[in-house]
Amino acid sequence: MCIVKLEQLTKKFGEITAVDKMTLEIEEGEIFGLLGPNGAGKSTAINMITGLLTIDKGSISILGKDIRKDKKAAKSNIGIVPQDIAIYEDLTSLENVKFFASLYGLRGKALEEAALEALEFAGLSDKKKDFPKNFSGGMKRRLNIACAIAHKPKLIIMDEPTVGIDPQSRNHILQSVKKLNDMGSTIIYTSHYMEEVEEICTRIAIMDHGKVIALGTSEELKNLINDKDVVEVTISDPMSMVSKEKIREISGVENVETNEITVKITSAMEVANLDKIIQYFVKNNIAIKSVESKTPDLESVFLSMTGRKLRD
Amino acid sequence: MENWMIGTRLIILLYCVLCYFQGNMENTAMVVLFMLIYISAVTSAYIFKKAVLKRCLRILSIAVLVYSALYVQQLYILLISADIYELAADFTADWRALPVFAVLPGLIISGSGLIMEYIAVSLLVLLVFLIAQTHAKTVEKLRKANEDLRDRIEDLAGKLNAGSEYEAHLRYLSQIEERNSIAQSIHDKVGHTLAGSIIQLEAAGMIMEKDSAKAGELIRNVTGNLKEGMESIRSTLRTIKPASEQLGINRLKLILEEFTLNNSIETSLSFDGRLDVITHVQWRIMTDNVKEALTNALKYSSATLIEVRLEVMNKLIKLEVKDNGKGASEIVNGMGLSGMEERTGSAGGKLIVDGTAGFSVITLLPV
Repeated sequence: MCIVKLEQLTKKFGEITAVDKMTLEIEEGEIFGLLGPNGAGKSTAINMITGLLTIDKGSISILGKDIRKDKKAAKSNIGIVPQDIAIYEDLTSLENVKFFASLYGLRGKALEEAALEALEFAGLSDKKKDFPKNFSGGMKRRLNIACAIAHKPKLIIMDEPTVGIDPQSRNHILQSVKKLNDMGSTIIYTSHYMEEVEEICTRIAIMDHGKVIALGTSEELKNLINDKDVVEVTISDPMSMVSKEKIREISGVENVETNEITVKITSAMEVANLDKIIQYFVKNNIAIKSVESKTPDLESVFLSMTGRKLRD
Repeated sequence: MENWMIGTRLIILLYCVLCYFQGNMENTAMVVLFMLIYISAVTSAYIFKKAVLKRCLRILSIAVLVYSALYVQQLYILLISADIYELAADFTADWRALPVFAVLPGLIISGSGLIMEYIAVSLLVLLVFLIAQTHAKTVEKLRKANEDLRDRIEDLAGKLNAGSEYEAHLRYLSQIEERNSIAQSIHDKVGHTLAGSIIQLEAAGMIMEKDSAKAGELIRNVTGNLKEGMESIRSTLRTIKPASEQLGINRLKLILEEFTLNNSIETSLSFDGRLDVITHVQWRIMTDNVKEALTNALKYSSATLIEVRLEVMNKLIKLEVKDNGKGASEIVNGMGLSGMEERTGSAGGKLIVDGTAGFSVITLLPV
């Protein structure tokens, strides 16, 4: 079922079009990534979905309801983790979560339970009585996530949740995104870190200058540019030990080239055969010095499409 | 030049007349008569074109002045330097010689109190004369240069015209040549096959009743021949018809060359990947977008170089038109962008416009 539907969504700030006729459908159960450089229009689009910004043209419907006609229904189904952390520093963690959850109508025991559960999920149970004043950036962010999910929304929107935090918290957040998804939430995730998006998202829209320029799974997007995987194996044994014919017999391998120390193996992208390739070298007792996979990533997809980098 | 000298004379004449009125005003008839003779001599010298006649008239006007200075009105001697300079300039190019000639009439009045006035006026007239002369020379030089340039323009325009005629001629010739080769190959391959087949079929018709087995064999032969002929027509057509990617890339090249020629902005075209997957419609969209983007660059960018790059990736065609101009921090629609966007969108593609480093318009089309 389609959980979010954008049709010809447009937002202008003066002469600048921040979001330009954006049309998109996000299905229930997806971790949907919005990837693009700073200023691509990701946050503007998110802010319109969450009702923080008015819509200039086009429409947004959430669970089949137009958000301009049915604001309450739309908003009660959304949990937001905004780009700028929004928590009260002079309330304890638990009070923060309870406050935000109460805004969604939870009361009494249900509220207490939901808040504790959310803190548990964010890994902050032992800090429930602490004030976030002294928290690290990552912990504040996790608390912010707890605030967004306590009311168990169907749709969770995370706008650059990993900006400016330590790697450990970052991993925790990525893991929790997956967990939330497993528990049945649909997630919209914006980032300009392509590695994150590639790792967790089931489908990705690449945005640039307010427009969706490409849409699909990570594989589909890479496939736009190239349909070959290249693996370069550098060996420390003499090249005479390598049999090109034998490598060619590995499924998916299309071409093998060698120079003095490296074997360059080109395979069809849809076949995952790296293990078999490595196995060949191991079985034949050829010592591997390094293995380098030259598979295109989303960064190179963006670069190929726009001639620019995702991050400056 | 002439105007300057006439003007100078007029001023001196005015001066003479005023002095005359201030004096005792004797001999009025003669004074006026000589003044008129002098004026007509000077103006005639300017009107006549023949150099000899001009000189004669100038000598006449000098003679009139000398005579009137001696016998009628001494003041008229002040006018003489202008005539002397003009006459002398015909014989010498060195301006320093001119005042020497002007000394001679000075002798006539050396005794009178007019000598100081005479020196001052002569020198002033010399100055005016020299300035006017230089001025006239410059104007003449410029006029000549202008004429030369005009001639060259005409010459070039003629050549250009001839060039385009030559091009048209060449195109016509190559068309004829091509037709010729098509006709030849049709004649060689198809004509012979058909002629042979007709003869064999006629023979088959004749022997049909007597020897049906033989006739059948002939007909089979003919069928084989015709099949071969068909194949050769196909292969001829294949070689004649240029591939669409050649047409497309050549059209792009042509557009860019024409643009460089007309606007003196450098352009470059590069391409990569399998161009043969691009359909006619896509070529059409891309050429239209390139034209539009070039017009934009010309209007807004003040660029000196425009690069066009066509790249065919696995499932994506990318055409980028990028200039090295001033770019645009704010991209305002209505620079012909919406037209490009619509065109690209109609084929399922995307248009990416970026003005951060020069101005770049990317057309993305699905393969």
